[in-house]
Formats: sequence, C-alpha cells, structure tokens
Amino acid sequence: MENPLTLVEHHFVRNRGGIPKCINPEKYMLEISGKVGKPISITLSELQDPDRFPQKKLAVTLQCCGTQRKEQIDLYPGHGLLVANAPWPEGAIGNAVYTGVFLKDILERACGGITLETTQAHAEFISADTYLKPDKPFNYAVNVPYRFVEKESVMLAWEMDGKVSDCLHIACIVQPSDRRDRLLRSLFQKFMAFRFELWCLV
Amino acid sequence: MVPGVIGAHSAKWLTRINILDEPSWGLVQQMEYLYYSNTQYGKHNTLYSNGFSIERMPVSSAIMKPVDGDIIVHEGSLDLQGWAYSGGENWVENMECSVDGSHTWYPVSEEGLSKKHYYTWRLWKASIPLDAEGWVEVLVRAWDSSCNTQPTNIRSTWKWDLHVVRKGKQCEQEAAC
Repeated sequence: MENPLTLVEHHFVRNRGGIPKCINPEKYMLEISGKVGKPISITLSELQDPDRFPQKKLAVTLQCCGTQRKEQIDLYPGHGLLVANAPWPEGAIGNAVYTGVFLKDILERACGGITLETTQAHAEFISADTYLKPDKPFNYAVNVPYRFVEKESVMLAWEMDGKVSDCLHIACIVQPSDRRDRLLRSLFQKFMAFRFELWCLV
Repeated sequence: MVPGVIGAHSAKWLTRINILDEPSWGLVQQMEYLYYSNTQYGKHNTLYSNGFSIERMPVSSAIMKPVDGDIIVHEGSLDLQGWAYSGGENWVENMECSVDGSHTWYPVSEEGLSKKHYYTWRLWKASIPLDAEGWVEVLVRAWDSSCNTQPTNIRSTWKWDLHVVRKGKQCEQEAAC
C-alpha cells in the first residue's frame, strides 16, 4: 500500500506465442499505414527523438482478463486444464509507469492524421511474435476503437519503470533478454505438463 | 500500451499499425478475448460470432493477505490486504469486507486505500472485527466511480469461457482466538 507500483520482477508476464528474436533496436522499423494521410516507416531512434514527438509517462495497471480464472477452474475443472490457459489466481495484475510517445502525436505529426471519421476508425496492432490458432502460425494482431487513440491514451512504450532491456512483459518495441525468457517459458511448460499429468491421474 | 483495457490489447514487439474502417481480422481479435454474455450454452458450444471483444474490465478486487487456508490466531480483529481495480476511466471508490457471508459489510477507510489515479488500481488494507473462532469465509468487494460493484456469486456472471471473473473475492481461513 505504501508503494502501489509493482516491481518489474513481480509483474505478471503473458505471451501468446514465441518471443521474437529478430528485433534489433538498431534496425527496428515500425510501419504505420491504412487509412492515414501518409503511410510511414519509422525507426526507433526517430520515435525516441523528443524534438519530433513529446515523451510522456503513464502509470497503468495492466490486468489479464483471465485474472482469478483459477476459481472457475476449481469449480468446473476440465477445459482450463487441457490448454495452457494461464491458470491465474489473483496475481495477473500489476501496476507500472511506462515511458513512450502517444500514437495520436505520431499520426498527427508524421502521418498527416487519419482519413476516416474518428468514430468509425479502429487502430490495429500487429506484432513480431507468432501465434498458433489452431495449428497455423499468425502474427499477433489486435485492435482497439480509435477513440482510445483520440483520448491520448494509446502509447508506444519502450520503458517500464525506467528499465528498457529486460522488459519481457511490457507493450514494448525493444527486444527482451533471451535468457530470462527461456527460463520462464521452460518453467511454465513444466508447470503445465505437471498439471496435465495430475489431471490425467484424476 | 492501451490503458484501461485488458492486457491483450497492449501488443508487444509491435511492428505495424494500421488504421482501419472495421475491427481487425486478426485471429486474436476475432476468436480470443471474447465475452459470451448470454449466448453460450455449455462448455463447448462457443460461436465466436456470438461473443464480443473484451475491452474494459469490470470492477474487481482480491485479498492478497492472508492467503486461502491460513490459520490465524487473533484477538477479535482480522488484518487484510489486497488490490482493487476497475477498467476504463473508472477508479475504485470504496472497498468493503464481510466475515458473515455478505450480511454485514465493513468499509475500508479512505486512509486504508492508496491514492486514486486514472488507469491504476488501488491497494487497500483493513482491520475488521472478527468474533468467530473456527472456519471463516472472508468476502471483499469494490465499488467503482460508475457505482458498479461485484456480484457475490461467481456463477452469475460467467459463461464458460475462462475470461473475466468478477465476483466478490473469497478467502477461507481457520481462525482461532
């Protein structure tokens, strides 16, 4: 209660696919296109140039929407144990300060704005990590209605609590550390395999 | 980073942004993180087109201390700690605790709650009266700035898919005077 910020090492981590190993901060390019005045490709150093885009900090609580799903699994077991669905108890939530630039500023300053009514637009985010559904690989892709961008709350962040390189969890655009990621993933897989064995025994 | 909505919308390792005139056809958007309010019957009858995309989370809260099953020696009061959060631009206004199955609710004092902030949770702590010995079920619930609170029964708000649990959080414990 004294400090409502969650330490980076205590913040929950959730990935849907593999961790991309191909992102090099030196060579990183973000493409912005669709219904914009001018489609662009922009580098990380251009995004981080404070003369081009004002840098902001936002305190944000992120919650996995499956937080506390363990209570459902306990009451109605089966489905939750068969797939690696992150059997969270109460911990799939954390609070951190993120540093980055608002997407709205980038669209206005570098892309000539959007060419749609803001009430009709959606912002789609496509990531480098892959995702299997059911067994075919796709890139992670989600969207939010444009009103979230309009309210200056969608941020392209590269720092979580002031830490850049080790940011496994954050909505960041920089490559995470490999070693820690592998460790976490192998632990998670072992944990899920163990749960599955238990379930088979029952 | 998209504050106020579930973590799934904060995509990591972002390489492309498209402004579209319709929602993304991405499979994560179309087939995952959907809420089936009244349209899914039984565990395996999911029709993706019946779900809607989960964006803001409902108000929720949890007891982090003590943990389920703890044995506590007490002298008439019980110390609790936890978090409370509400999605969108809502914040948590009040927390309440009950040790008698939701008949009586003890409010958490304002000093017992961390500061309000857009897009963030509030941590809370409370010391509530407890006259029982033996097995006690502790319930907590949060109220947010849109007057929403949590239902007491887990089954009343969930339609099989394992997303969005929002009932008042339970914590069972043995208490001994």
